[in-house]
Amino acid sequence: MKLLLENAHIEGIRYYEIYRKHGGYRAAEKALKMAPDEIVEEVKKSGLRGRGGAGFPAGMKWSFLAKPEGVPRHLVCNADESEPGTFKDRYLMEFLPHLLIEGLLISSFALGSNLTFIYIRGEYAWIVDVLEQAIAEAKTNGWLGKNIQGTGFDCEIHVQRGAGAYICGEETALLESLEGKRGNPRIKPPFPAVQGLWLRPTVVNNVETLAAVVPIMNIGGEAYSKIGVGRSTGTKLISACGNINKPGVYEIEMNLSVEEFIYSDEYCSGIPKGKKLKACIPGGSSVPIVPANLLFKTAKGETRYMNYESLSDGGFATGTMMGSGGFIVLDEDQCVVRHTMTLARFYNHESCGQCSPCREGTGWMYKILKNIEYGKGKMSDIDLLWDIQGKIEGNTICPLGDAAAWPVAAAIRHFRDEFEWHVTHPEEAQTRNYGLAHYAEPLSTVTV
Amino acid sequence: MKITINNNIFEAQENDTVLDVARRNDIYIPTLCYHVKTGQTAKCRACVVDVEGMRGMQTSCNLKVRDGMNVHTDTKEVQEAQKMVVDLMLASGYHNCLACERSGTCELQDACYHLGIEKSTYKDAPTGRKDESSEFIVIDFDKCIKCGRCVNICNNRVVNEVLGFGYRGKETEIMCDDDVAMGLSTCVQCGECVQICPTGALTDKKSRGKGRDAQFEKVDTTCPYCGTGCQLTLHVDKAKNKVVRVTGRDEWPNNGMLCVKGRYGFEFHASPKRLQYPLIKKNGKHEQATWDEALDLITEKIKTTVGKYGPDVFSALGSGRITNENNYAIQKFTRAVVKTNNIDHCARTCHAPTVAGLAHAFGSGAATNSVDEILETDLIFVIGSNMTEAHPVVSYYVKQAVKNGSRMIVCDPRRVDIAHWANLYVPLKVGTDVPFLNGLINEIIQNNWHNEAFMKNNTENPEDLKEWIKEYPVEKASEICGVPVEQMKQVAKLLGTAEKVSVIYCLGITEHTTGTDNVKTIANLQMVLGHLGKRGCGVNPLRGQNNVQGACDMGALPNVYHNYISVKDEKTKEKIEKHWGVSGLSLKEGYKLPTMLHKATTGDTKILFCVGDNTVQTEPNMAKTIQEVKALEFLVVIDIFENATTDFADVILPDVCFNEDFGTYSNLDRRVHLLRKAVNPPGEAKPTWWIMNELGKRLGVDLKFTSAEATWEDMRATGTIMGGITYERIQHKGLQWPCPTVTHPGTPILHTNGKFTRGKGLFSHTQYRSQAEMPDKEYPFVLSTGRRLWHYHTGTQTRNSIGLENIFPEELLEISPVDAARMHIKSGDMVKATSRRGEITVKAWVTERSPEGVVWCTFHFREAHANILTNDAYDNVTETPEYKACAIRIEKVSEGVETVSRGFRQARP
Repeated sequence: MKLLLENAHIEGIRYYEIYRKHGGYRAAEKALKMAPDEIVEEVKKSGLRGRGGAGFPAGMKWSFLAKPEGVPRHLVCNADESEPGTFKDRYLMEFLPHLLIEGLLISSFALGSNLTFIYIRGEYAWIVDVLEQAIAEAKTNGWLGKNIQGTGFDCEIHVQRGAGAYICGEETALLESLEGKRGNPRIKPPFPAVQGLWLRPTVVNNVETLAAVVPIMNIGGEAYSKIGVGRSTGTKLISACGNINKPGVYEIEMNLSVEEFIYSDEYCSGIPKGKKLKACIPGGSSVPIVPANLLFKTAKGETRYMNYESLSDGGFATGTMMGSGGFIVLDEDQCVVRHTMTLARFYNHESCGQCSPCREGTGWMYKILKNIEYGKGKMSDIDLLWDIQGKIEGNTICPLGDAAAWPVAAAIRHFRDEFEWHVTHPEEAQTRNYGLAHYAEPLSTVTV
Repeated sequence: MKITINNNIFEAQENDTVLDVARRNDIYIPTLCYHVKTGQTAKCRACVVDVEGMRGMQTSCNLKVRDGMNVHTDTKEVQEAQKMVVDLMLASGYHNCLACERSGTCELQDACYHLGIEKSTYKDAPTGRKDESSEFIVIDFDKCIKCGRCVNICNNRVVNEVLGFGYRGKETEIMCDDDVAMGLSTCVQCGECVQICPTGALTDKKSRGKGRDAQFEKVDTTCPYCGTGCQLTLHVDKAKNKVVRVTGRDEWPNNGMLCVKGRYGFEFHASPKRLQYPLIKKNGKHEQATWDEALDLITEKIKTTVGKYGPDVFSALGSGRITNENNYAIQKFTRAVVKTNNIDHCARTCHAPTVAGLAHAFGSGAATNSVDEILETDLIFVIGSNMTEAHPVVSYYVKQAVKNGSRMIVCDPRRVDIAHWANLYVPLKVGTDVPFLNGLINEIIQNNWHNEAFMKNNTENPEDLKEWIKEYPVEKASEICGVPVEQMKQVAKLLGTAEKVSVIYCLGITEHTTGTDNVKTIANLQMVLGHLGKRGCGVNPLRGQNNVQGACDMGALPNVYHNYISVKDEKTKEKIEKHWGVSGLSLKEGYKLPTMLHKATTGDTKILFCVGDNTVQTEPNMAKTIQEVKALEFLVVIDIFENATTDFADVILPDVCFNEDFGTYSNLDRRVHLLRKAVNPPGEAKPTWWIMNELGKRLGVDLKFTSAEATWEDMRATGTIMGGITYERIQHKGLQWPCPTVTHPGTPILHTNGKFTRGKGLFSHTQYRSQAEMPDKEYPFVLSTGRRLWHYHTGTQTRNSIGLENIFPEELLEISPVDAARMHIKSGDMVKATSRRGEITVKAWVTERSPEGVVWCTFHFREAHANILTNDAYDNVTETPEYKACAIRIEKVSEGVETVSRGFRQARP
């Protein structure tokens, strides 16, 4: 079932006329007739969880919004999609800009934001044009601006480009950046819902979350909550990449098994050249890597599904996270050490430099991983690495420290033998990969 | 026997080693193996020295002295050799001093310190990046732990907004502006970052290698520059009798913050140019004399001249730069010994209209509120103040308040730097404050924004004001002052509707022929709005000099005794006579400063005593001042440096400066602060109170000045508003007068509950009068003068301190880009500025700070001195000269090298 990308294939859907013809702005029509609180209630009922990575229930976040007398409130759409492996928001904004605008309009109405921002990743330059054109069209047709559709509600949407910092995807860093300051995350509390943009109550939501408000309005929160399983309601966009035959953005219901997602022709269509699966990072680069033997079945032997609960089953010891839905598949040819080093380099580069553990720690992790990868490592380096990641995790203002620590921790946890092999075989490690040597009898033979 | 070390000859004994002699004479040679108890081993080779006639380096710990030996410990070769040894030792381990118990007493650390070794060269060295481009601050990036304290304090406390973080992750580093070297940035070198830095990343350049913290005695005292009265701690090297470093003390009014002058302008006290001995002019030349000779000569002169012509031929000048005690001493001497009221001081040239105007309106001629209250106000109305340069620490509070949400209006003909932070900048024409303010008052009353209840209950004549203010409709006012009607209405609305308004003004208001009227109009405005007697409100003049408030308080004024007791009052006279033990005090008001000088040419002033006041350079129309000073029969100057005035003195007496005696200063919010003696005065310099006491003795009056404190106590006995302030009570924190009893907590806010010192507030009818000398065809420019951040007064202190002169070495005439383009002048060109009274040649600085038709310069530099040009036209009430407006002509003299201007917010090109 597709709720978001249903019309994505239609030619010209990014233009207002065509979007409208295919049922666009019906949800907004409906919502503007409701009381704002009813919309919030409906979103709560839907069980929609934040699609940015943390999976916090959106309705609950909305209900936390402080509403002091006489203070303007803001809605900020977080389109700073910078997590390696994640590109679902880009797809959504590029092909269905009006879906986002409609979602923003409904949400702004529900939250009472007359001034709403889209903070978009700087590299998505061309999408800014797409969005701005959509905003202009929406305005011409009375869906934005003053007295929207005669309801007396005013709403303006501004698109603000970031300047290339991953950290600005963190909501408080995003707000700082939006205010024109250096993108350093703020200390929480106070949370943005109380003191956000210019110290006013602010809700920051991911693009996909806000777009999902449209189908929720269309089919009703109740119906939305029945899609999926358990607390993983509705549909989720997954951006799949890596060693698969069909990379791309897929909208899935969250009762799909991981195995099916990788091997089914409807989705990734398996691994090229019939190679074997080695590991997978299912939720964007920050989430722990899982080896193939723990990917399809949990430690308890149950089938693993593409949803919040199932993916995190077993905690970090044997599980991982849903994250932002950046699904990265690694085949037997991939080197986990090199891969981890690449990620460490990324986090080292993207640390804002505010907290010492992250600023210094990410640097050291990268340095040590580089030594190991290039055959200059010592056995004690692996323990040192383990030590550092442990000291970074949970010891920083924002989750970037965690995000930098988790991939390293998981790689050592599941692939320690590969690290050790790099240390013991410094020269061999330069010429070939360790491959699947550590799997006794690992892989699935399933074909769908 | 004698040996020479580093070209100095020292006594030496038989069996001494070179090291022994060096140590006895405080010459540092690193020694890491030698110890008295373990003997000479000469193993470490760190103590090597060069001996003339001996081949190679010698270890000093085991080298016996020979008569006539010539040793060098400080040549480059010796230093390099020592360095290499210590460097290798450093590389032998992991010598990290951070948490080491020996830090501070470690000899390796000492060696590294003295040799300037920061890290071993033999290891994977850190970046070694340093920024030494600025005059006073060194940034060592390797020692930076990126804690962000400096960035925070620079942006949120002193709000100079220079430091920030750049780059990210491990590359994160502090940077100035957009990553330029500190010396090229807009940094004003306040040094707050140095004081807050937890490591050696930010350090004072001046005190590098001069010794470490534990070596210095810390002396708490008060800053000798502007009137803010910042509290400092002097770090004193007792052995060298010198101040090495200055830090701010966490106490009101500055809370640890300082400006560049306060923190880095301290070496003048140890300048070799200081006056050290009494000098008597003989045959046109100043010759050294003994105190007795000098004092006897003065006594003789006073006796004969006063005896012959009466006491009024004697005049004395106190100063806003010397302590309360010394001001009291000079006024008591003048009144009790000579028996004239001809005593005045330099407030005459700056804030006399404040004292007169506010005393007239409220009954007290001082700031009504305290500096700290700026943080609590809603609207700050700044008029005629270039506070970021003249009162930097006050400007920190103003900028902080604005950052925290207060609004600010800045009115000034020049776009002064504080306007950068203002919500509204209002450029008005020079000298049009009265019509501007009256226009505002009119608009406020028209719109009913005035505080009717306050006016009715707490002022004497509200109806009069409402009547005559109708003469100033905002349209008419706008026409005169050049501010658009809309903007005037905007200002009036802001003022009228704000909950708390604090008016801050400075010399832009007072140094006009209408100075007193300007002040009275400001008082009118605040009484109309009812913003008096409450926290965060009031009329707050920024007093210019460290103790100009105190000099007034001490009665260095021709019309009042100390504590503002009128000289015309019989009863007071009797009371004071009784206490002073004299009779025949004069009931006649004395001459004001300009009058004293004018009367010299007619022979009515014959003797002038001038204490700490460089009269020749500070009075307008220097040519005329020189004539007047020359006409004096006898001029005595008490000062710390030779200056333009000492040239004409018959006797020069050396004074002590701020850290050489105890005493008190009163700052701009009436707070009395203590000064402490930190070093010994040079030569035979003596405090003024001692000089006065000696003269008194010789003239038969015991003035009872045995110490600074005794002088203060003598004042306190008849003091009213300061009767309760004792040295003991202000050891740690100043007290604000009025403080009549020893249990009184001091008064931060005057005129509370609508009760003015004089009873009810008094509105004054003020009228527009144009400046004395309007620009015309021949002299088309208006010249305005003021103070720069880097200098103070006539430069005697700042130009004799290291570094300030490098930052701002010569006077610049600020001229607007429009005028400059028209006259083909660029920054760096030499121009000739001519007024009806004289001419100067000065370098031009083309800057947007100057509006069209207005140029600006200062009187800090003797070489290009504004007071050669300024007009000797005076305020009709207080005789304050119109420094802020005179007409001049400008001609380009020669092309210069263009100096590059780096943006707008800056205190220098």
